[in-house]
Amino acid sequence: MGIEISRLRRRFGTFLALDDVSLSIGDGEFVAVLGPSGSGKSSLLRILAGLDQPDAGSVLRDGRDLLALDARRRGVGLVFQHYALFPHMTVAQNVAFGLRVRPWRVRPKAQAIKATVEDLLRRVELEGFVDRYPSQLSGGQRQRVALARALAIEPRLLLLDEPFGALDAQVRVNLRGWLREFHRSLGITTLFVTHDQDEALEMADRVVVMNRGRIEQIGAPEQVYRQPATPFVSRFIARGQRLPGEVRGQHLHLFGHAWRIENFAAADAHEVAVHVRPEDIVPAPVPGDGLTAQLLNLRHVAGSVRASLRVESWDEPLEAEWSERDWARCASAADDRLHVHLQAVTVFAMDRDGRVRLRSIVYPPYANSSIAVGPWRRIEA
Amino acid sequence: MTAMARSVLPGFRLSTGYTLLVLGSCVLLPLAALLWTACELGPEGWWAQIGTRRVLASLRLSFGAALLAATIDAVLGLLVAWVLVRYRFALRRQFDALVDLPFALPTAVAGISLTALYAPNGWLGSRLLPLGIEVAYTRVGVLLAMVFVGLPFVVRTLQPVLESMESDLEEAAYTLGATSFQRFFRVLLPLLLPTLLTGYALALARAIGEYGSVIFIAGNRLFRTEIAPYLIVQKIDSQYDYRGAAALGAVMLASSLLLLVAMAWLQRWTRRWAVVR
Amino acid sequence: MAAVAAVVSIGQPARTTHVARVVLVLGALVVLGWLMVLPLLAIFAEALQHGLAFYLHAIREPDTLGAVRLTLTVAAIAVPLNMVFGLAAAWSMAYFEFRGKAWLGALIDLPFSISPVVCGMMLILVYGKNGWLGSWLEAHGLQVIFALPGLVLATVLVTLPYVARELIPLMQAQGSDQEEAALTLGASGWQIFFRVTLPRVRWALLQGVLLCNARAMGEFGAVYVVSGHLRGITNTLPLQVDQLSQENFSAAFAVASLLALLTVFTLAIKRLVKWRHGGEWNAND
Repeated sequence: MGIEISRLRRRFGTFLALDDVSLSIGDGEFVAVLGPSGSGKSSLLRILAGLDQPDAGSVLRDGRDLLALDARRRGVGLVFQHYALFPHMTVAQNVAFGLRVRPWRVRPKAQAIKATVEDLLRRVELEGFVDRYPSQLSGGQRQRVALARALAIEPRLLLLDEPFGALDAQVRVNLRGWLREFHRSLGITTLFVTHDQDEALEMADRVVVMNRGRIEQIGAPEQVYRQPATPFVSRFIARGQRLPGEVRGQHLHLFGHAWRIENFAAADAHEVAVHVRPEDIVPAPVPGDGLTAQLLNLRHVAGSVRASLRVESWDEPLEAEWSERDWARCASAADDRLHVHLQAVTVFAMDRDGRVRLRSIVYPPYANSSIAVGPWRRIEA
Repeated sequence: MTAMARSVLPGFRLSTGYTLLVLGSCVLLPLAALLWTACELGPEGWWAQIGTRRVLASLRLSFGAALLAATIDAVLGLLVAWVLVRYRFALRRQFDALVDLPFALPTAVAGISLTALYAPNGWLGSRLLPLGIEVAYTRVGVLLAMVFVGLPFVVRTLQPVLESMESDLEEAAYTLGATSFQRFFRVLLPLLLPTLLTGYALALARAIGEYGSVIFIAGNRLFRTEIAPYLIVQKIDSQYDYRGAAALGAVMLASSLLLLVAMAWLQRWTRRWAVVR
Repeated sequence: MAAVAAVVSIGQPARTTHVARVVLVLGALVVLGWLMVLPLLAIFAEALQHGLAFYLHAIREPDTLGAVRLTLTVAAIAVPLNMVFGLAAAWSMAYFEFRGKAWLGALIDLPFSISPVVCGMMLILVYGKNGWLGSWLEAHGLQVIFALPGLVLATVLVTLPYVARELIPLMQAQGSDQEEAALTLGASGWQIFFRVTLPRVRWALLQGVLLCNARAMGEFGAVYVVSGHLRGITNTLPLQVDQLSQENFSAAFAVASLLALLTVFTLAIKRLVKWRHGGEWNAND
């Protein structure tokens, strides 16, 4: 049950906003759609809300065709990025709008509307603001009015478009936790769109990563972070950085080492990408062990240390992120030379169309200076 | 006027001084002369000029027709502005350019053109006559000419506001279940109302004062289709009665300004929600 | 009307049904066609009613040619005056804060809400024979009313706000950042004006000047009052149209068509400028 989105396609002129997008959302789930601007996430949201129609594909809710329903009758609550509060109505009038525009047969009595509005405003912690106009509210308050307004129509699906996009950094962080709790107490199926990785990973049950109109990966926050399915997800979510590795025959070559790869079919690998995350480049516990690195610069940021390194003789500097403790351990190496270990390296093998066919995560053990290559996993594109 | 210029840019005295000089000699001085001449009459002399049946009839026609014309302009102007902004169709740009016609067409030319169209032997007049509709040389003609001159004010004030209006609000209303009528009357119209009132006030002011476009089609029949500006011209032209003209002019000016102030107040009231914290 | 078949709504689908859209567009086109297109067509139709020869004869009449000359003269003086006024007023209103600024703005707009006829009459009360300054002017051999200076003055007064109204919102919206930048780079006031401000507002200025010119050449009510409409002496083109209309309707339309051509020309240029350079000013029409 829940919502079944299959094979959605939407084209604007030559721009393919949605390219064969399929996704199923369970009842009561809290799903984040994450992607850079232009990735198609807003198009998906607008189609679900009924503000746009796909060129192809279907959306079913509990087995019924949702696309056949007019936006007015869909029962989908949409919170706009810039809230879209009606400036000429008070907070109470804004929240009551969706109830007051119902046909008179199904319109609640004035008293019932008033009670609903009061209840909603209490829930979003804005009891004292009924008679204010939106221009008299702060950004965070407007956001919550927009949420209350969308909830007033008792939607079966709640859509949030960049819910924190227009807020200050401080307010944004506070509201995240609040919204997470709020969702838990309501249990409404919720889909929210964001371009902020932290936001998506921190709040959602599941994250849908989109790029150029396609879904790159769907998974739990931990999963998309630890096991990115594509180089894009690795870069976008985990700040994965490309390494000069290549696969020749049955071996992966990286910084002068060659490691055998199991189950590797050359036909699957038109192109290979090797990625490493900043926190997986760590100072070697034993001096002289691992790869040589030159320290280009170092910044102390809120409890962690960020460093730019030139590893071995590779031209492109790599970013590393360590805890202060890790850094203290190798700070004894007085000059700007040190040794580092790559703790985990992700290898993607792409076919001719650029689709990832194989992915392997490598955990190199350095103590006896031999690297074991993990099992290849086949990625379902 | 104290120079409290906080800007670092030069030229405050020169630009403001020149502006005031021109305004003083072209606007303020003549305005003072008008009010002075009207005041010299005293209340009784003033009423002797204004209180005649002919003058009262002309004032009633001028203001009545102008109010009605501005109202018609508000409705038609909203329709035209809406269509020009929201829809794409062939010749849209050309039609858009045509809206400015009453701004740029000399009023006398518009006047004789409307008269030629609606005269009993005119292209439209001859077709309307069998239906019992007389336009030329009636109050309907006065109204028509006023609608003509006022329309671009409403359209041109509304257009930029409609263009800059985010579609968010309509979409929000849509997802909340509002029908297209509810979206228009509950969301769009209240938001457009202040702008619509601005356009209305401009069209009204223009219609009240309009001379050239109206007098030809009005026919200037005693007590029936004489507008107030026509009477002013009559007093100056044929009677050399500058005092009478000034009295009538002052009444027209004061009433239009009063109407404009009332409109400004009404407009502020319709924007009461736009208070800044 | 084929135009309507291809009506496309911009923005979202299902906002209005196709039928409603077509009805709305048709309604607007009927309004514009009825109020704008018909009168414009009627002018040329009436003017050419008796053939081209009659038309050419009517506009070559000496009094008409005299009216053309006078109209051009009046516009040639009044329009530059208003251009300078508009620039000065906009510079003052856009770049400075001072007490009474709101009143100054209202005063600039005032001629919009005064009847042209009243404008003309006010000028007579000041500059006429029995007016405040009339006798002094007469003693110095300067006749204003019923002469060229009066025509110019009336035209200036009626068209006063046109250029200023075009420039003020634009310059206020653009702000003075660039002018201040020029100042810190060492430019003088006039250099800032000619090299920074003027190029920024040139298209809006052109637009304002075009409308001002159209209005100046076509002004009727105010000019009617101050001119005394002496044929061949103080008759501008619109006054000539008025006088001819009482004698010979077709000749009146022949002269009117000259003014209508000026209007069409003005609107076409205005449209072209807006189309080419529309992005440069969003603050106003």
